[in-house]
Amino acid sequence: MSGTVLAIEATDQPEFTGAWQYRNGVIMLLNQKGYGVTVEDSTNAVSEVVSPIAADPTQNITFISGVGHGTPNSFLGFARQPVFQINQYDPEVVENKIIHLTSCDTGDSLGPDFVQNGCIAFFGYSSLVSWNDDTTAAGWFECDAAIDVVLANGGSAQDAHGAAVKAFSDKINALRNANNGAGADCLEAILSCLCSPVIDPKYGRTDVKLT
Amino acid sequence: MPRTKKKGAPARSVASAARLAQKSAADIVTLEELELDLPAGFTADGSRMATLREVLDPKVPTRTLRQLSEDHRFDLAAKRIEMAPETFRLVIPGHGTIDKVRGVTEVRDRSRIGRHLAELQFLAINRATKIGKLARRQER
Repeated sequence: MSGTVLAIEATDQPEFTGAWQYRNGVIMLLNQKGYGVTVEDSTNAVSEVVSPIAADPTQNITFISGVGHGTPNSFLGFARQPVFQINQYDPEVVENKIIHLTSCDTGDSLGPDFVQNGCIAFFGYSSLVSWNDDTTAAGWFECDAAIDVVLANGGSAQDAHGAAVKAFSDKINALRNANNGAGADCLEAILSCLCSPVIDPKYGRTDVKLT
Repeated sequence: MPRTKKKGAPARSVASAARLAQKSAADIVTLEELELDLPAGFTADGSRMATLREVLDPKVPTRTLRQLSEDHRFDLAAKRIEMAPETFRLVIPGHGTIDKVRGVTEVRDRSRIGRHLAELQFLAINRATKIGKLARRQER
């Protein structure tokens, strides 16, 4: 029996409006592939709601995928409240799970902390991300969603990383060819801070797959 | 710094220039004017910034980005943002939309945001230099 995916969506944060169409596509794909999906968005994208679900073994959460603001030590949900913060979560919340956070900075310290506490693979970004226009923002969300798409289709963490890198590279070239050099530079900077087990073992194992 | 962009010349990117340069060497000069006139290094004696045109010119002794001190690199990044079109905008989630005035201030302060903005400028310089060199080779 397939596990359940916990999707955390900071839908009150306007910077991430462009992400929802890609997130909806990923959720539909996960459903088609037989995974349950629990979405916690808006006022439910808070630690008090999310953490008990993630830690509950009867929920069988195998994958946490979140979109929201981040800092080196925390992932933020509704009203920029910390959903996950170093030293403020139980290991059961992340144990044996793949975690993917679409946010600034969380790859710096939070991601490695997750792995030290039992997370099997972490995907995120280790620095600030930025964009010059909506096209570039959409480009980031689309390339980032490639990680979840590959995992939903049975690929490994290594496959997911490869797909994301290819998506970024293709999008960077497309932006350059569309005379959007500034956008291409933004995506290149984002790609340079992509974190995954392929980048460093501190982000987990490359061979793990979604169960 | 002199602006030599031809009146009425389209503001196309250097990426486009490189693509089109393969078709006609004559297109290169016109298409790269904007980027060529932006600072991309320093003169060899460090007395002033050098445009990309100068950096690409073997007759002009210049220091490339890699050869610059941190002070000069940040000066360069701030100057490029200062010379950017008024429409310059950068969204950094959690930090708002950065316009030219704030961008220059952040770079000069070398804040975290300023360092990020500077990194983007360094990427732009490297991209433009690479494409400029490629275009020059096509010209020969």
